[in-house]
Amino acid sequence: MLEDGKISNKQIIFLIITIITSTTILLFPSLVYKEAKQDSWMTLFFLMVFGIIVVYIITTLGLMFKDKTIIQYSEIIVGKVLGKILGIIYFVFFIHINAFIIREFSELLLSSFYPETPMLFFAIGIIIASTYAVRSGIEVIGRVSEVLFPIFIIVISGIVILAFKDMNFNNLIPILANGWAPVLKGTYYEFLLIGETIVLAMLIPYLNIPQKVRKSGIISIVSTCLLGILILGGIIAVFGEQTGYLRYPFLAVARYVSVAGIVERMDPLIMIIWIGGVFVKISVFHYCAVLALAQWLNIKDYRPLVLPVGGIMVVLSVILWENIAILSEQLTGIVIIPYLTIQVGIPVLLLIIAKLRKKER
Amino acid sequence: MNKKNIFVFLIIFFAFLIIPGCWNRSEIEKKAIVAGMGIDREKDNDKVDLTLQVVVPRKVKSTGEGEKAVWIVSSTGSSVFEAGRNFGLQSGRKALWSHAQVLVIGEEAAKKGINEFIDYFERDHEVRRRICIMVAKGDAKDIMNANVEIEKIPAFSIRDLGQAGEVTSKISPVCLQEFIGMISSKTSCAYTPGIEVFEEEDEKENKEKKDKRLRLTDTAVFKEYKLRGWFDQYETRGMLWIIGKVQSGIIEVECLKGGKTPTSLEILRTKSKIIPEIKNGKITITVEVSELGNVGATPIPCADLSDPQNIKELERRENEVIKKEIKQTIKKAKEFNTDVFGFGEAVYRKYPKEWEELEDKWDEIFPNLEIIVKVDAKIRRTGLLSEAVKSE
Amino acid sequence: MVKRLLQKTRLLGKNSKNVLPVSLEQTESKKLSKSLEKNLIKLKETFSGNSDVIFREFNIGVHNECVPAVIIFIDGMVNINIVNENIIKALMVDVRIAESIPLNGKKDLIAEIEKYALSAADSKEVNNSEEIIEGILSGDTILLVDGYDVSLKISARGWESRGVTESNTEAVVRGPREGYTETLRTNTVLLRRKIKSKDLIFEGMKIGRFTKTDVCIAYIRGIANEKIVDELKKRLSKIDIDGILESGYIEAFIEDSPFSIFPTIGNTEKPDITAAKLLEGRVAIFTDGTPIVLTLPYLFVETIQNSEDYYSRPWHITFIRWIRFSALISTVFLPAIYIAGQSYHHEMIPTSLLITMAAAREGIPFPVLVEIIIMAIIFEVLREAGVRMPKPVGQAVSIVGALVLGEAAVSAGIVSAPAVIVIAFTGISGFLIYSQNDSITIMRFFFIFLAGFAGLFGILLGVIFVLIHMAGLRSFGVPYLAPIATGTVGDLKDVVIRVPLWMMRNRPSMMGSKNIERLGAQGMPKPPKDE
Repeated sequence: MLEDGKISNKQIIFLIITIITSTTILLFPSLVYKEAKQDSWMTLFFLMVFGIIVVYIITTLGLMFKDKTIIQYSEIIVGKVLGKILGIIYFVFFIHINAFIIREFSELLLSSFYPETPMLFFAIGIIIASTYAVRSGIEVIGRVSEVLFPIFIIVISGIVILAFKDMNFNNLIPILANGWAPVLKGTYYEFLLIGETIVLAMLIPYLNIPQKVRKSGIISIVSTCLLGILILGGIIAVFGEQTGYLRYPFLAVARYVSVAGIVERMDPLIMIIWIGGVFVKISVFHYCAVLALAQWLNIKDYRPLVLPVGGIMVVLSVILWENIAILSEQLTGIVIIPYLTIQVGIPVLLLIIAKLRKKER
Repeated sequence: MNKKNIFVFLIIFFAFLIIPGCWNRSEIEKKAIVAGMGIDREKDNDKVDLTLQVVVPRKVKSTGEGEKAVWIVSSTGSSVFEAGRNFGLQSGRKALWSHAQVLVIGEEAAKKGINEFIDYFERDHEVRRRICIMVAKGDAKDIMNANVEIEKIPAFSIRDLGQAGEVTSKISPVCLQEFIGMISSKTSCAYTPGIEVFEEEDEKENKEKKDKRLRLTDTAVFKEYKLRGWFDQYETRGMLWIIGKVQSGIIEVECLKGGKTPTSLEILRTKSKIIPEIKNGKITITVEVSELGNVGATPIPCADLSDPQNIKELERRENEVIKKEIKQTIKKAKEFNTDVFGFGEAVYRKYPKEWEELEDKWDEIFPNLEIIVKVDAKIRRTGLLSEAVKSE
Repeated sequence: MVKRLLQKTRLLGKNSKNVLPVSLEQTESKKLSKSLEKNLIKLKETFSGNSDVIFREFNIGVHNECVPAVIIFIDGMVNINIVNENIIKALMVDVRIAESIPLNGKKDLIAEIEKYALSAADSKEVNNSEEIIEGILSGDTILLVDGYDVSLKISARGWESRGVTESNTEAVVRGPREGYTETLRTNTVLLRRKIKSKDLIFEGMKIGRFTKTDVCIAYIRGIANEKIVDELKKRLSKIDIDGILESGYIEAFIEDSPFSIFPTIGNTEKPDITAAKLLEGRVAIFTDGTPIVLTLPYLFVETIQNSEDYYSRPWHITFIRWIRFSALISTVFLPAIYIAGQSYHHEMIPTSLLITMAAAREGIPFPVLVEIIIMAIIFEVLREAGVRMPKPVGQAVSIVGALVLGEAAVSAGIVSAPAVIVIAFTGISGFLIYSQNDSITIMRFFFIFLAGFAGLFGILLGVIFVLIHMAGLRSFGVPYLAPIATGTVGDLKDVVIRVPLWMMRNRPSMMGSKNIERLGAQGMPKPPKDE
């Protein structure tokens, strides 16, 4: 099997699951719990539906232009000038979201493992790794994620299984005590995560078999949500109401796990999935940002752009947010609408315009 | 892959790691491993008095007779946090909290309120949520100072006391996580095992030199972060029956043939169910306890235990005993107005809509709650003997 | 003269494109002349100063109608019996008795000799002095006959060589013991005896301006991917070096990533392993003068595979595979994890272990990082000494050295006992996967440093770096991490587990072989049913 420098459909599934799950498991449970309480796990069913719709839109659009990314085909669909504007929007979006992720990444390490180390240390560390990966190409990122993925899944499910002893499923009832509204509100926060499938719009041209991308996308969305149900349900069963005010409930679960007094102190495992998962996530967004810029500028080789773009991300990750409170407030507040517009709104518009134009012809 | 890249990256990578490096680095031998913590409040000025058992690794392996491998240090501060930092003034080593096994809160401190401590332990990432939490009868400092023969590190022994005591069902160990879970609920109340120092007189020569030892006693009951009172061991088991945490233990019932010596029944398995019901605005709670046991020991002479009739009678008596225990506990809990059983939670789970109104009034409702206790005790085996030796 | 010749060959090799007019002229001068005398003078001049080249002049036929001839060979490189019996005696004596060839006829005498007189197995007509010289140097015997500008190159090679013995480096409990020797032909024969198929191809070539080392590519036609074979030939033909003394020279010139710490070309000393690899679609390179045969493409998973895996029963081997895998992990990461735990993540170590380690560390003068580095270096020194020490000094010294050194260092309180245990275990684990030993050693130190400077974060970042590097590596077009990271789940049957042989229906697909079926139609072996 001599490869042709592309990523396989299996790898795209792994990539998307890792991208969405890696930050979700640590950051989102408490945010969602604050709204949806013990019904948090139900939000994921709504999320699944939403996710499938998003994947459907992005892939339909992508498959109309199989060998082009969203940066390229937006120029075709809405014309040169508007297309260029959309292109720069996407570039900024990729940079901004990556700065977000880098900040979240550093914050967790800082608050839970290395309290005395400057934040830049982690940001620079992960961006050097991501720079190396991006320069090596998407194929390498795909392979790395394929190696990390089994570890990721085994660790997550392992922690949930080990915590089983400490679960009290009474914490999950009453079901829907406050009706559907809080559940929907919790889902609303999570839309952001599913929107991250926008990377598909950048990666479709680099797939082995682009035709199958829709199936892969849907598989990954469904499995992500199922994994999320497992995690969220587990966390709530262990911590009940405390989930709401723990910053990283899943980390707390890992720390709390103790089987027979021997299998305990699982924090290194959390660090493994956190660093591994977030690395994949950061490098994919880094790749997308660099690719977007290169295509926007019509440069053939994106490599020279990798380091500068990485540098910008690091700087932004430090200066954009003053403290973690602002970060999580933004995460459940002002960024949702613009992000959703970019992740879902623009593709929908593009799709409609593209379909109309096709009809005209 | 560009070959040059690898080198450039490696150089950047290493430079990046080495130049700033080692912020959080601290060698293990430069750390003071805290094994146990005792928290007291000073009576006059409300300052926190933190007593730590710090492991002295050097002594752990040494074969010194009865020598403790810990160093007991006290430090004061306006909060646990500050007291913990002040510890550094005395030790020269930074404290390592994450291996602490027990947290003992002094009775006085517990009465004054512990919300500040709990907040600190929850916020700080170092202290584990598995740490055993106990309330001292008296000062926590004395507990930390007490003698333990079996372990070199007394804190470990205190932790093990909790685990071992669980078997008797007269106390129930509680870890920080469970404690927080109980205490942060709006209606439920938390409990922790109590620990006390008792003095055993040396029967030989020096009667002045008394040996201070530790034992678990009653159960401390908290209401809203404050110690409300104590359940004695009898009441503790009553509470454990309701929340279904009785694991094993002995029930003594009156012997079928009468006489002073009771028949001992061994508890094997128990289950409990709390069923709330709201009818016409009146709440009734049914507690269903089912128990499965063996005949452990019976005085001689004894009735013929191969007779099912006699077993039935024993079961009936056992039911009575358990019911009595439970009722006694409920009475005490109502007296304290502490819902340690999670009745409120149970109502919430079944009637989430009605609960919204009830929640704020729960303090008034609980003491007057109608509670029906149903016990179903079963005896499965009579041991290896079908009748007592020389029964007739 | 030799030098000049060689310089010319180098020129030829170097710019073979624009050298055509010169080469025509040169071939002219290299042609043999019809006069034996002239040829002899020329050759003697070529070999002047070489006492081991023998010129045996004699006459073919009887006194009155004899033809002067000469045979040239290097003493010690030919089988002297064959030369005596089948060449000299045949031409001097047997010709006369049997009168098998007409000596004064107009016929081509050389062809007649080859056909009727010579009783040696392999002979060939050559008319080029360069080829003659090369033949002599490789151990052939050259027959020159007066009056002809053609000579006969007779293969009567034979020299002292080490016999086929048990392989030292790849010991097995079950399986063939024989290992390769230093002689190319012996080695190819060993392989040929394993695979008796016309499709087993040996393609020979000579590499090295001075050494003219025989190098031979072996593959199975129809199984090996032609792209890989062609690529290999292309890379081999580009090698221009004065000498190839060991297959490592070749390896260095045909690697995909010469700077990588990971070997992308495998090596083995045993014919059965070579055969198995060829049957999986790989290509082998035999080099004269070394028992080490290169195999490629070499993938990372081959590190944890072993020939004996396939000779033993699968359950245990699956278990052993995991043992090897954990040995790989521990030999690379254990010292680093120890450091990270000791100087960063105290909260992650179980309490009682932490206290024991703290007790052991009490009073040690060095920080953990330095302590581990010292111990790791000491271990490498001992290992290297164990390999290089003259045999009689022997392993005993190295073991005693290690024991005494370790024991004394611990009791003197210079290093802590856990550090010794960690390094000892690390070292021993490394021996389980010896084929990656060099890369493992480097990685071990890499991670030790990372752990010392940033704890677990450093280690994990390092892991990601190594992973990216490995994911980008290829060995002759095949991803180095295949089949772990390339989505070929089917190939994992021989990686994470080792399924029974009758379940390995297909060859590993990552080699890109067209002929994928390994088994016939039979399924699980069953005892015959009773009638």
